[in-house]
Amino acid sequence: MISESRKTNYIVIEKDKCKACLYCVSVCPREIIGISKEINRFGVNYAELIAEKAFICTGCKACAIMCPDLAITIYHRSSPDDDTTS
Amino acid sequence: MDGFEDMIFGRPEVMEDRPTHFCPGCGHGITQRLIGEVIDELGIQERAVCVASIGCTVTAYAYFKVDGLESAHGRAPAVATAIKRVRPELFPFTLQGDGDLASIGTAEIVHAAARGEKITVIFANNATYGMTGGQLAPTTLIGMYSASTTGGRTVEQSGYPIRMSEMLATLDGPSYITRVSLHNPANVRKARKAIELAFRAQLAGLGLSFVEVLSMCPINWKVEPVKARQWMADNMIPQFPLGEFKCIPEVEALKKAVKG
Amino acid sequence: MPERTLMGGNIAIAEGAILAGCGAYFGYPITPQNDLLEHMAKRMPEEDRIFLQTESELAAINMVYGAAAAGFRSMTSTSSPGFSLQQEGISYMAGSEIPAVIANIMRAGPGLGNIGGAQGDYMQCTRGGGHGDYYLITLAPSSVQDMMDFTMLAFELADKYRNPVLVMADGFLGQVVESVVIRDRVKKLPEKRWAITGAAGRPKNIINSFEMNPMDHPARIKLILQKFERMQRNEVRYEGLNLEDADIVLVAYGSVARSAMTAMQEARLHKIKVGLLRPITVLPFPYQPLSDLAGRGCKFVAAEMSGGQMVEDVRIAVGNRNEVKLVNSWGGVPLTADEIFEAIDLLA
Repeated sequence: MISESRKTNYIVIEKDKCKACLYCVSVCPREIIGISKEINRFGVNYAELIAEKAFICTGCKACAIMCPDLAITIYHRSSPDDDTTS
Repeated sequence: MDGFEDMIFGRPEVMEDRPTHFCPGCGHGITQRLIGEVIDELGIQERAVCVASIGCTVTAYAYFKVDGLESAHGRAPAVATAIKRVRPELFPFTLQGDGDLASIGTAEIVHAAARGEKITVIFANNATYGMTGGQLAPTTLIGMYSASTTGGRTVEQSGYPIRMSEMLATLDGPSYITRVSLHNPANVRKARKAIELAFRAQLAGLGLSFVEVLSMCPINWKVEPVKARQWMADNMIPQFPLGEFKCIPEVEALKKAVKG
Repeated sequence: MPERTLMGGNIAIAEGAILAGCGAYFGYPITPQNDLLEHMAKRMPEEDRIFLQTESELAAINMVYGAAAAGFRSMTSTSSPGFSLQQEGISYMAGSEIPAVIANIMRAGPGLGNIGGAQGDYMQCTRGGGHGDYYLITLAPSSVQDMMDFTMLAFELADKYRNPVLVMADGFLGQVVESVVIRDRVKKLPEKRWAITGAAGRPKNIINSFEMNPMDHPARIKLILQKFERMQRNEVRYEGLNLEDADIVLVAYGSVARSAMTAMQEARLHKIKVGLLRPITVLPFPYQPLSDLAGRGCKFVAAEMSGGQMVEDVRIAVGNRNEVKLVNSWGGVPLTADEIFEAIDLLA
């Protein structure tokens, strides 16, 4: 049984694909996505991962599922000590 | 750091790495990605043919690494029919909006469905003519603003919206007809399953498979994208109920193969 | 010894298409070409090829586009009102550089009109017909043998130029029964690397008539215009009879050319020196030979079953150098040899 603290899920948002529809922000159950103060090449305040909250991502994928722009990629990183048979 | 890193969600391989031309929050972006995921899942990249139509889907072929072609307004089912009849090993799918399929194209979709053509039709219903600026569509709701019914659609002037899935389900030719929605992740997951089942129906050589996808058009609904999701639930779904309208036993049998 | 048989005009088109390797036929019933559709319904499955009666001419032309895009020689046949419906699809094919053959067995228009044969679609056929800058090679058979031969030629020219080609006949010619030589089957069809065949082991093929960036569109149109220039240089076809010493030149095509031949023979008996120039391609039109004859001092009689359409092309060729007289019938009524002879007589 892999404990929560040894798993890390993290999302990467490609800022220059984001159009700031904010679907991801609105569906994240842990509210770890925010709105950047910077603008991207579309001239919008793009969605970005709130750095301090990144580690609580559960990997539920709701953000990426809702993203119309294929801007979000999600990774799952597990430590080598983890019991991977569960 | 030592460890194993897996990508658990990313751009489907069949999709080109490029930004989309869609407005912020447009449902087409999600629908196209779902189609891409299914093409990857079923391994049909070399056989798939994207029949684009007129409207915001007009450049659909720019997003998939598959053969693709344009079609005239409403005619995509006829074009896909011909491709499938001359090259049955190929996998044509159409991507059509409500103006294209339910207005000028009603004859072509009804007859392709009635003949049970072995093609797949993905019908993006957002109750508006998006590309041209939000005019009245055959699926525009009563009372809904449109650029050509600025006081809201009235029955006296424009009659009632059309429920295409229910109508087509009266025909014997189709093998699978369903309506799904994109307004929240749970429904997007269901939409993905429906599209996969529709594609599996074509792979099994069954009659026309049809997925009506209720899709957000925040720009022409004149709401912010996040509000469009609720707008969809409050307004579209009561008029266009979600669910299956036709599923022949052979398609039922394919359900266990569907991922998710 | 080539096989010879009796055949109707419409049937000859159908059999010509099969001989040329037409892989898919899509059609819709409309008089006067229903026998063509019915014949294909029976013959195409016999040849293991695709036939479908569609829900409309709109669907038919779009299916022709789909099958042609998939690399098959593809055709439809219709008559004038259905041909009007097909203009959109033809324009899309011209814009997407898709080869196809469309047979228009003309009847009288406009509107519902009359089921009798006519030549009132001449402008529609030779001036594009649908929207945008494009031109279609238009072949005008005037015998049942022509119906077969020009259909085969149409497929060849369509593939050569990657453009739709029209076979423009009329209702009378469709029904006439004559003796024909059955031509040899085309053995080898050209390769089509641009076609939709599934992107296996190659980059994807995209077929469209549109550029995302509007600034890229003029280059596309230039290609089409250059095609037209090549057609004008290389594909003019016509038949000249008794032109060497003619004082009066008849210009007629299709079934009218037959009446014109009789009128010419009658005129010669009356010692009037009449020749006949019969365009085989009405696009590209044989302007040059007509212009040369005008330079020699000939007068012209344009004979057609329309309000006066081909005569304008004759006038373009002749200019105001010499007289161009129109003799015509319209509304689905044939133009007789007598009427043509009368016109010659008045001019002589």
